[in-house]
Amino acid sequence: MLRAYLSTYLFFLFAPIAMIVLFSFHSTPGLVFPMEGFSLRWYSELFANGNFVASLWNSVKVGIFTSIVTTILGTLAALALIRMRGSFRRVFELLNFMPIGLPGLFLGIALVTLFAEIGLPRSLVTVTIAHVLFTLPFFVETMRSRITYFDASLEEAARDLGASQFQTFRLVTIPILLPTIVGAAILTFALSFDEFIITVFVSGNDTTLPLFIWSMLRRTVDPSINAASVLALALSILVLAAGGLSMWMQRKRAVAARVAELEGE
Amino acid sequence: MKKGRNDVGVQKARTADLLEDIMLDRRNFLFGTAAIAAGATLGAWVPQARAEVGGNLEIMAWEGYTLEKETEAWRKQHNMGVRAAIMSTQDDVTAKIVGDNAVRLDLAEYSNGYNAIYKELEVLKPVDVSNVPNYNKDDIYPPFYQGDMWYWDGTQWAIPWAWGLDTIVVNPELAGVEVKSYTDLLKPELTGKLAFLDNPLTVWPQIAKVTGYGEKFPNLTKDELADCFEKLKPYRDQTKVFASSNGDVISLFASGEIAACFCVWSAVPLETAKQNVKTVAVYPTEGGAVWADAWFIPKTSENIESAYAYVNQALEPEVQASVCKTAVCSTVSRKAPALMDETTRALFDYDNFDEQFKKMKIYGQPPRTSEQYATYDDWLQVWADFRQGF
Amino acid sequence: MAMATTTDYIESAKKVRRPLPWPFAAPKGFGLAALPLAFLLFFFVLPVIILFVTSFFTARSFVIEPVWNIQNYVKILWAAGFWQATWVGLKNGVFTAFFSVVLSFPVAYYLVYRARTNVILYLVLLSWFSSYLVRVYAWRTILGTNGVINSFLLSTGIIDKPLEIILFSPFASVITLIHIMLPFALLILVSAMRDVKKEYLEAARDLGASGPAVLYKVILPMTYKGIVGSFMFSFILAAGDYVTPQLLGGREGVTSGLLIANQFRSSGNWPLGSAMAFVMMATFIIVYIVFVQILRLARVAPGRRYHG
Repeated sequence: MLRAYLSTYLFFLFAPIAMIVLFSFHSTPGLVFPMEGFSLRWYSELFANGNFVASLWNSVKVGIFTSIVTTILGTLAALALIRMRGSFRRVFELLNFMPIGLPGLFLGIALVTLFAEIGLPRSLVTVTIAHVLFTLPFFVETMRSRITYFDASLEEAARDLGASQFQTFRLVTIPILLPTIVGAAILTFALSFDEFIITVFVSGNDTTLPLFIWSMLRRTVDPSINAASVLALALSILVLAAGGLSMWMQRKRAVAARVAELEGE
Repeated sequence: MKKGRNDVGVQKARTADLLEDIMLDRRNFLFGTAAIAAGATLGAWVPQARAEVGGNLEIMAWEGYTLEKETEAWRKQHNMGVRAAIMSTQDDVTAKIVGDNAVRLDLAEYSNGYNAIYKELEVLKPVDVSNVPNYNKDDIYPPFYQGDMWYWDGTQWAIPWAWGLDTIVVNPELAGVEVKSYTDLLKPELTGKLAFLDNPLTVWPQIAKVTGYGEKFPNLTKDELADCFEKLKPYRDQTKVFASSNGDVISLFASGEIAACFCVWSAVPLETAKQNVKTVAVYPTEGGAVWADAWFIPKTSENIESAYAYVNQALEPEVQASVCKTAVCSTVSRKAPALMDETTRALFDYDNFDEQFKKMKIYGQPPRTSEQYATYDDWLQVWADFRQGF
Repeated sequence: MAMATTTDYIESAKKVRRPLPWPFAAPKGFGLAALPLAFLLFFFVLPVIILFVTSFFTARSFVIEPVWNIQNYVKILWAAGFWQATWVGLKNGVFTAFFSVVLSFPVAYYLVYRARTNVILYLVLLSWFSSYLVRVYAWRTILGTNGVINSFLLSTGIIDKPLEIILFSPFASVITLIHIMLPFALLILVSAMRDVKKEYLEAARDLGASGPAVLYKVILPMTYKGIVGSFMFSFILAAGDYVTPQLLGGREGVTSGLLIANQFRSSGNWPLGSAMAFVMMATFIIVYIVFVQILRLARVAPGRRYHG
């Protein structure tokens, strides 16, 4: 029964997305059934549009920078949280959660008043700052649910075997946490890539992909918006696959290195 | 969410302690904060630094109006790079150019009506028309040469370059009743089949018109404003949905959700035709309205020379003809219609321009601040209340 | 949301070493926290304070006058339109949050206790990667007068005239918002449920608890924080959204979020917009308190049970 329910849940989640993908290949501009044939025209139209390509590129840039900054700040915050105590911990915890405890709109207007106050011109830099703020809570949450299971005795063992603190960190802690970090970083990228409501307020004269899709929607609604969304989806899956692959390679290399070490002895 | 189980919490994840030791140093902490602040300040210089790279033009325009293809060869010839930010509403432009923290834009567009607020906020640079030779009395249709939306105090402030009509659009098949005027939209056949465009600029002048305040718009007193929306109530009872944009209206027609739209871009029928839905633009007996987009040079502009050159290019007859085709709008240049294809030329009766244009009016906007009249804020308020059914 | 719970209490009792109080020594973990803390203070706490201060100023179309007064709040209090919009937003939020949590709970249970791999979780999260705006339009295709659902119902003869009310109604907004919030709700529930180890459930069973009793007496209280977090999170995002209701909500399409955005972008009255934002936040806090009280009355909250 649970399985049947699960299928329904996934169906609800993916049927609309499947439809978006389907209509992105529609040969006519309509977005209603029945479909009238398939073509790639919307994709070629998009790629011929310099503004689309520029906004896609902007979103990729923002997504990557957001992931990097969020990963650094988020990992530090998560590591800090597990060793904090008492009221300081509660305050820090609250502070880390609050940004998503407020509507995106609220973050957008708060940041735009700050930028005005300190005279920071809006550009992709401000967009990245806003996205870091918005994604940080997700990152910390994802990390924390994993980090609690972190087996500290492994670190201890490494230390007992004579590893320095830094060696322990590099050779034990990071490899263990890496899958979670990579996963959370990918999540961050996805959230940044599709962020619309905050970006509207903090962007300068650069258009990100969701802003571009919104402006397309205002002129006419045809399958090119679907194609744009499918491209974004495909790109995200690519990032996901790349992340997975690098993790797998890393693990393979680590195993190989350890085997080599053992054989060396 | 989770408080560490004791064994995890208290202990010895030494590695992280190492990091902690490094950072616990107060100076380092302060340094961290300072670095962020410094980053923020330094960041302030990044966009400016870009300005020194010659030949880069920062513009903001509607989707489809950035002249990418039309100016390609010309840009190459002058080694000019154009970066276009895309606007979704006029508010997008306002948000960039207003205030102490304005963003650099060398060139941007405003719709008729925004002249008043941009003037009041002093965000416009005067336009030296001698730098835009294509903007001259002989080549430009009279309503767009000077004109109070772009020319005041003896100075040109913006260059109108694209325009079109806003009017009633009807799907005759679904409507099942003939629509010739705004009042026809109140027929019972259209109950629950009408859409309003949620765009103040387009809709408010028409609202004033159908309620008998057309002559006074945009200067209505608060009482008149209240009366105006009181008289509009029957239209709300007909309404199914408030569409957020032209594109939204097109999609609503295409999917058969609505039979008529109170007032929208007159090119909607061309777009719905592509999706096999026949709609027609109806020019009501009360008269239609004109929208017009103009290039202006914001106060934050740096590459002014290139901005002028770009505007001049935008007024080239070939460029005008091409934009009118792709963006489905009308031209301001007398020389352009001859270069247009059949469909694009048919958008307006250029041969009888003056005669045809007489029925139209280019409307302004309610004042931003006024003791005497209802302000833009007041209008926005009643409009939101109207949408909510008060 | 972080709150003092009994787990804190238990933990503090077990505490092995107690650091010196705040002014004398930096609390443990402070060094690691320094960077993220600085970021959050500068880009989150500071802007919120500025926004709050701004809400007591006045403005006329994009020019702010720093004159202290509470006019903005007085104005909002008497603006029926604002309260109507707030009501629409709250309704959207509560329905969305309720269904997102209830629908995701069994899935979270499956993922934590039954599934061998995380594939399904990743699959759910994958839906996050498709554009939010485009999904809103996809729902139009589904719910429209000539949409998928109507076509299906017509072809099977269940109805003989298209249902017109399903699109452009609060229902359409809510179903779309649920679609968008499900992954968020699920993620938070899963991470909370991972705390409740399978052994606890087995222990409860061994002690003779029935299936429903395990759910009601073990899982629900122990994932309480996750449930509250998941609900509040979906609620806040859905109630604050103004794009989905605008596109799908029909005549009930104006939420307070839209009014706030208008103040910032269209009217240029930032102080009034800020004041509206804080009033909106206050209503959210009220919802939070009410929700927690309801859970308490339903005896789902951990309450005294932990102390035995």
